[in-house]
Amino acid sequence: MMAKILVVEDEPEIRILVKTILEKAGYSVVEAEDGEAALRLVNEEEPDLVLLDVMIPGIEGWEVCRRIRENEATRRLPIIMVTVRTTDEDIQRSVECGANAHINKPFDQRELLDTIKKLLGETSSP
Amino acid sequence: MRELTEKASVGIYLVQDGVFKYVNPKLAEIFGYTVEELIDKKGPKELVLPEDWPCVEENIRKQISGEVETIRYNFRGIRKDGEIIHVEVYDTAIIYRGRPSIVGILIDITAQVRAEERLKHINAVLYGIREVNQLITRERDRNRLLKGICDALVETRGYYHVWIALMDESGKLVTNVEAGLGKAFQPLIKQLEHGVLPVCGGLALSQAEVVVIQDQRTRCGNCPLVEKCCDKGTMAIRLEHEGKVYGLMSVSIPTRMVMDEEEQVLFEAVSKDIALALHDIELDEERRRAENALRESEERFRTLAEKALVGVYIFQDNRFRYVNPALAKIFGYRPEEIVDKLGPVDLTHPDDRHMVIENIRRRLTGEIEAAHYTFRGIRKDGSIIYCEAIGRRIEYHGRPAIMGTLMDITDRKRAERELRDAYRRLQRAYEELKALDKMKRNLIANVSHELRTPLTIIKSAVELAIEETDPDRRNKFLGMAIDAIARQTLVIDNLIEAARMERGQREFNITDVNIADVIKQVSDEFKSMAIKSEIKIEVNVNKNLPIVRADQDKLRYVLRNLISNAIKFNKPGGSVRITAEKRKDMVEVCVSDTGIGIPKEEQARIFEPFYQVDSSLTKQYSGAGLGLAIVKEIVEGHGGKVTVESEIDKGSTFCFTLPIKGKG
Repeated sequence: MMAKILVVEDEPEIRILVKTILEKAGYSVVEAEDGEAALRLVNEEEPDLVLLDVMIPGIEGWEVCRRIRENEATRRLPIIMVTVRTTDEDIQRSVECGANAHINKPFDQRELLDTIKKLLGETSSP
Repeated sequence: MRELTEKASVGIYLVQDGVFKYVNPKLAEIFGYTVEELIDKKGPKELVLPEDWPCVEENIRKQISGEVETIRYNFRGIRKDGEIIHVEVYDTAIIYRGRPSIVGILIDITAQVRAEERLKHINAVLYGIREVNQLITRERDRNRLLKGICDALVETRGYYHVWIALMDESGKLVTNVEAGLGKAFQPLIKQLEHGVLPVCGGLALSQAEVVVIQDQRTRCGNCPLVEKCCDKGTMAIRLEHEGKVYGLMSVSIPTRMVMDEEEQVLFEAVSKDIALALHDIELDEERRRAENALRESEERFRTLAEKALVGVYIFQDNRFRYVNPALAKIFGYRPEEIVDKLGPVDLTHPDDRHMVIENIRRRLTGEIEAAHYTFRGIRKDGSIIYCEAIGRRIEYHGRPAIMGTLMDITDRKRAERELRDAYRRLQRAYEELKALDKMKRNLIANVSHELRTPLTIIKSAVELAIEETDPDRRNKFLGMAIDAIARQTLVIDNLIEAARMERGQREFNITDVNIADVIKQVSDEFKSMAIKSEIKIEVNVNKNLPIVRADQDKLRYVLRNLISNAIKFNKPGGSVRITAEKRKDMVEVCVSDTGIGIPKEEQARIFEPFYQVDSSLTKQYSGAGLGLAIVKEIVEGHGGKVTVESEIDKGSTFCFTLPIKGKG
């Protein structure tokens, strides 16, 4: 069964590139340009994992993460923050909002895919 | 003749051979004898005081020898009872029965002599009293007074010695003064110091009357002065006035004077005068002490007020009655320029007069006792000072007045104001710092975003291109990478310009520039970006625009920023319109978009460094927030101006001007 990943990213180029990388690795991809769309799609599409940018229009990425955690249905959904916010303080905020991982941009393809695989493996065998 | 002599009121006698041959009854009476007891039985020698006899005998001899016919002289006689009498005689030598005899008249002048003696005595007493009284009225020093009295009594009254002892508060005799004793007085002083009184002193202190002692040898055995006093009379008396005993006075006088009532009266009178004088001196001392205390306290108050560092004042009937130098100085006057000339209102700022007058009225009417308030004062030179006054109602010369202190608190007020200002400035600086800090965080986040986003695209696109075998797809990835590199370049240019601006470097390489060409070139750079964003770029430039003077690279920078913003903040399907027109000595270039617009209140601030209208827009319309600030800096550096007109949801128009060559 092909895992479904929601990519929340407002930069069109990055969205295209990430989608390409994920599809090549065998995942199906759902895209969202902003936080509101992301919150809608986690419920509608029931993805297996979310890649979440921080600096997006409307609701900030960290807040989106927090709301996903507050929702009982999506409380255990693996979330990876993928962001240009790279300071210690920023990483701390990712931890606090309940994200499972924090990956800096520009990201390494291998690191991104390894993290996804690890999170899907852990959560798929409770 | 016989009858005449028998009844005569003078004594008549006949003496022959030292024996009375005849005496009339009067003569016998004068001497206390009977006629029979004298005739043929006694002679003059037995009736004359032995001391006077030689003189009388000589007179008798002179007459009998015929040297003188008649003679008149006085002598003292002795009566039968031993009393001494004074007599005057007129003698004439005669021959009686063939033999030389003396016949004479004798008059008893005792009363006359006594009267004369008494007069002399009274004169002496009066002289003594006068001496003593002069001292009493003149002398205010206790010791000198007592010493003077002692001396005067010895000199004028013929006293052998006088001593006076005064008691201190505990009753001890401490002040000891004498005359006529000298060193002999020392042992008695010692004895008095030990509280042992001689007999005369002890008696004197115990009774009001004069003490008289004549038998010292039996009565005054323990007194060091006993030898001095023996065979003389001693009088002692206490010095008393209105029931208060000051001490005692003791004198040694000729025996005959002791029992003389006059002498005792004088002695008592002198003692009373001395006591009165001591009482006066005591009153004087008390008055002086009280006066000194009053003067000292007044002096203390005056010194306090005169030297005080705060102003001190008393005013009554709207005039100052007293001000100290400090108060006068506070208002720039001398005290004499204020006292009795000015009132509180004259020193008060017109705006505060009502308040000050009301405060005064309430105190004077007794509504309140004291008031503590601040007001603005006017100095002599017209300058305004802040004063703090505390004043209360007092009685001054029997009428209500106000006394108080006043301080110049201008410096304090100024310090308070400065402190408040400083606090406000500090608060502002803190707010600015907080804003700056927030801006810095935003800047770092923005710069990070601006640099990392194109890098992310470049990295992933290049990696995918390397893996890609299909040429079309590979070119698509490489195209994405190239666009991202161009975007990265702009961001880096911005940062470099911002850093240059921050350092105050404004080096322009000014040349002749054909602005139409530059606009065309820069707008072409954005073609692919515009297509991707679904934005149409229109360039509407007059081909015959004059040449401008500008730094061509900086001009490109300005245009790039404005056009890139116009695309970024636009909506899909919108357009960007670029125009250039000649306006007077300038060329005006405008870039308009059909985007989201800028709120009116934000329009001035968008040219501030690091400013972005809405941080939630940060991502969508990314930029380090430096572009417009740099644009403004560059345009103004060329002598031009940047303006903005905008309407929400309709779009914005940014215009800038540049000077035409050879003008301005």
